[in-house]
Amino acid sequence: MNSMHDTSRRRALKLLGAAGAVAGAISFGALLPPSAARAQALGMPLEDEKVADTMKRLFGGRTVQDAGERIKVDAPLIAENGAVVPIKVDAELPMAPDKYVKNIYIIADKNRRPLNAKFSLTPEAGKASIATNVRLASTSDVRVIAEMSDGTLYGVTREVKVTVGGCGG
Amino acid sequence: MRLEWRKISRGRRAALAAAGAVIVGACAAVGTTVTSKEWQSRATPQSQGIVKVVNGKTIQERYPFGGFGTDSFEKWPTYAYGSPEYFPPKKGEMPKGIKGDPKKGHALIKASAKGPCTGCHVIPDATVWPAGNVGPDLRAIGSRGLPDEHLYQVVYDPRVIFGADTPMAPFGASGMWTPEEIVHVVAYLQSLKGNPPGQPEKVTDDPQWDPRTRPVVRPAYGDHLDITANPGLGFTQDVAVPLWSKAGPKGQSCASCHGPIGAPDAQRPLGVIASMVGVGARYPKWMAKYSRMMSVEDFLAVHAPETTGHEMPSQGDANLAMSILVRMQSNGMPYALDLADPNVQAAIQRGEATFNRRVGQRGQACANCHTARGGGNKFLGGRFLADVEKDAMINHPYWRTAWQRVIDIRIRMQWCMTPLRTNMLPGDAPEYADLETFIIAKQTRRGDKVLVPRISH
Amino acid sequence: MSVGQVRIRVPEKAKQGEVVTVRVLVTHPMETLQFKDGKPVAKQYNFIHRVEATYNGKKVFEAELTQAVSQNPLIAFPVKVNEPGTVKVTFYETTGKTYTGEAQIKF
Repeated sequence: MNSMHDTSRRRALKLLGAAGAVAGAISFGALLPPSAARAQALGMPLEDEKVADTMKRLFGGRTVQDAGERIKVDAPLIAENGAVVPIKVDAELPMAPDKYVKNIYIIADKNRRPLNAKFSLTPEAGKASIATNVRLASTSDVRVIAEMSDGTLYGVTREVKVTVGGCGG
Repeated sequence: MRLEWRKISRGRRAALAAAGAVIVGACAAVGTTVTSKEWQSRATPQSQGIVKVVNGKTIQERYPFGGFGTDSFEKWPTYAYGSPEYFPPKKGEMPKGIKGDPKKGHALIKASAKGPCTGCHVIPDATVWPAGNVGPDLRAIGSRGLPDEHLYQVVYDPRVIFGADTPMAPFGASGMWTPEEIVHVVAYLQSLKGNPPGQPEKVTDDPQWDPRTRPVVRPAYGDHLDITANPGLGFTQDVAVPLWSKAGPKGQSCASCHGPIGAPDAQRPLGVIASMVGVGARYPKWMAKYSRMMSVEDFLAVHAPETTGHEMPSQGDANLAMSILVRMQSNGMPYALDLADPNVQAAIQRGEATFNRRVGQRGQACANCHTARGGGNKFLGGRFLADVEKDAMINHPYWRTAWQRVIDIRIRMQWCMTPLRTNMLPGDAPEYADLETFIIAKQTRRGDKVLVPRISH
Repeated sequence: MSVGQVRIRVPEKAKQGEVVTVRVLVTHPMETLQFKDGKPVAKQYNFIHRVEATYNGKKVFEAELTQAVSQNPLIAFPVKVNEPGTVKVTFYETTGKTYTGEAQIKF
């Protein structure tokens, strides 16, 4: 619990300078022809699906190899709050121009729509390391799958338990 | 007065504090606090908890987020000074002629609307998640040869059996459970013989299922003072930083008297306000002008309109953000409540009484969950309950990930009222300020350091 | 906090060839379709479905997000920097709006 008020790793943030915050709300409709605007606005809610169907849709019949220690997933064993589950992925896999981690998928088996997010990298990224916060509907296996540029798939699965009840912390 | 008080040895001071009522009576410098009845609330309408009749139903207006609901428990004691005491322990009469059904009892014991019992007790059911361990493990309770009558009484009003200090609510005597429901639960409990008999059954191999072996996990939301990890910082930057130097209707801004916001440092990523460094750590303070203790939030709600003309109602966005901006100037510094002020000592005593006072339909007190003799350091369902002696209430306001908003300790206290089935007081109630003083005094004695805003569930 | 506010954090200084981590947060509700009895009760949805990042104009990172990314999305990604420059991150909302933020990396 004491980590909550650990102040040893503070760094000065250049919030006012470097992190220029631009609240640009530009409508594509204004800048692009209507067809282009539609093409950009592809974000539709996914259909409800079982995780097996998600895997089939994303990877066809390709086998996912166990990544073992090569993909390190930092996710809480127990999430007090399924609405914000921090997940950090560090993949120690090649990042060379001829073979690199092209995509990293986060998939929560028990979510109504299992795909949480897909991250796409280039060899210029230097390393395959991403982080985000995801929503988990309930206690679930969370799969992290790295797709190499040659189509090889490596994956790890971690269970995250979501607590409900109590007085809400 | 203050100087004289400081001359008194620490031991003598503690003794005097213990005899607080005498001090209050004898010392002219100690003022009487106003109560929430007398205090004209400066909180937002949502925070005031106004009780009113809508379509023939009495409701209490509460926040529209977080699941506060509007059920009014106006018949039951609240934390307001002058509110009646909770009813004394009451023996129940086990109804004759009803045959207990263990199946119905099993369903009731898991029903969230009825407690749930599994928030505090372990039963042999792998589908229960997450179980808590505030109360005893019930997996072999039926092997103990306890009479039905005894178990009935425990559920009806445990204070009759275990004494007034028990953290368990009087589920029957308060009317939350019907006598028939308790009979079914008793039948279920008697069916729990254990496996092997007399021993708690091993239900799963999952160490997280059992609250006694479950690790306490705090998700790493990242560096509290990183604006990309903590949206509470962005909220403060957007709301409070411009407001600090914005002249109000009276022509003055905060900066007019307290100086500008300077360059950031490691502890104050939104900028250093030199005159405010250390100030927030000294609150709550006794404000003689208002005859009450005031937190930073309470004080801003009166001080900003008086000086700048800016309205800054408690628990409103401007108040929460400004409170963070002020409090974070003390980041890294220990809480420094003025324990030498007899008015603070008097408030600590009032706050302690409140902490131990049973309220609401459930008839539970802060102490039932947040001391080691109750649920402190144990799991209530999946929640690890803070212990007032160790880690309760450190560092507010904070970014609450579950609600995706900043809340202060008063909203947190008001939120506690909901499951207790207690009507909340206005966020700026003097009673809450005393309760806050009681807890911050412990943080001061422990040397806890300020870190605002933090990120938490 | 207005919707679409983008906040970026990068190291103040980097060396040539260093892989730096860019952290970016956008204020956004990430609305989810509400369901009742298995059927959507409201068709309105508004979430960030794509994120794109460039360094000195060259695309270095992209992500497709779903409604299963938390409100106020945080994304952290690596960039190998060979010269000082500007990280630009653009968030694409399902309504067609975009939100952009920039940060400088100095050597």
